[in-house]
Amino acid sequence: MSRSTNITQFPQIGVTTSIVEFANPSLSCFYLRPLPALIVTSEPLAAQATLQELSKLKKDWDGYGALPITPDSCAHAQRLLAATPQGMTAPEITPTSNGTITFEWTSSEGDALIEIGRTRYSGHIQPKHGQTFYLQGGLAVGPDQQVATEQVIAVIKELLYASLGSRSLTHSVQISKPVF
Amino acid sequence: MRALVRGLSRTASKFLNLFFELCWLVPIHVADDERLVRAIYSPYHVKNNRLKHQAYDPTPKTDEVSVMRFEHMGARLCKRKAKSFENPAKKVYRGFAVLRTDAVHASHMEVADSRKYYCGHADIRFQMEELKTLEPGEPLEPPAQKRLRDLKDALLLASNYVSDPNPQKASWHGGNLEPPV
Repeated sequence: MSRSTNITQFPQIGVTTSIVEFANPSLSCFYLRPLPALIVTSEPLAAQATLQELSKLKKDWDGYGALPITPDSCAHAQRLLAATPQGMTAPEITPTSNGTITFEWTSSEGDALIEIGRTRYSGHIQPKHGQTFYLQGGLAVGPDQQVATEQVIAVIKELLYASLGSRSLTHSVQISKPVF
Repeated sequence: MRALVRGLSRTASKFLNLFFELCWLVPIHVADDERLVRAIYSPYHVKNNRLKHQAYDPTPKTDEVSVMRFEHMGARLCKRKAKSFENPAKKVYRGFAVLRTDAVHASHMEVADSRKYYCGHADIRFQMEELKTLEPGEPLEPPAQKRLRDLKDALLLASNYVSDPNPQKASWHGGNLEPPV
């Protein structure tokens, strides 16, 4: 049995919407297969400035032996941030002691966290009611990868900000196990 | 009588530690009623005077979070240690998170003395092997990451953040360093 949900954005802005389908809701993790999708990007300046600050952190920046944030993680984080669609608040951006960067969103619908590393990301979405959704994937540079990470953001938006704005469907995205 | 002896012993160990850096009277075992304090630095540990879960990020390559044994160090020595790790440019000492050992045990974590760093140092252990083998610069697998987040949230719930009104001074002039009731 599959479960589907739709991604929506404010109709007054006139942007594209997507459908995200969970191939098997019982899976502890699900994976994204990139398909073309249009995402309207925004560039919250404060968040970009935060990322620039993080890139300057030296070893032991937290006083407890934290590792510096890698340039790759910063670059991936900037791409992910640029993919944040309209109708979604900018994430809270924080470095971790292992040299990764976390993006966190909180809304009345729940919260989500994505941790961005040098080569991969990992995260979860915890709706106020219902199961936890786990997310993970690679962070190679390329158009397919860009689409995949945009879709992750779209899933978060759907689950945390679905109550904002009305819905309309123009595009669909399948989520399925990766083919290696 | 037993409580009185323990109280006297803790007072004596605190003074030996503060003035002579002697660990003679500090027991290896961390008692359930001991207060543990974690030095808090801005900007990444607090937001709007509230603790963030990043305040309990483990040390890289370990599943441990450093804390100080308040009963055997006292506020002045805890503050001295906290400020010694400060970096005015990037990490500014702001105060302490205080929690009790039994609250850590209640969330299925361990507390162990680690005086090899300094007398009064202890570690809260998440007991997650994944953290010890985690590659630098990479995230945990999602279920482990969620589990770590839940454990850090449990520590936050068990903690009381007491900000230091005079961070520049050597002595502690803030509120009572007590865990939440």
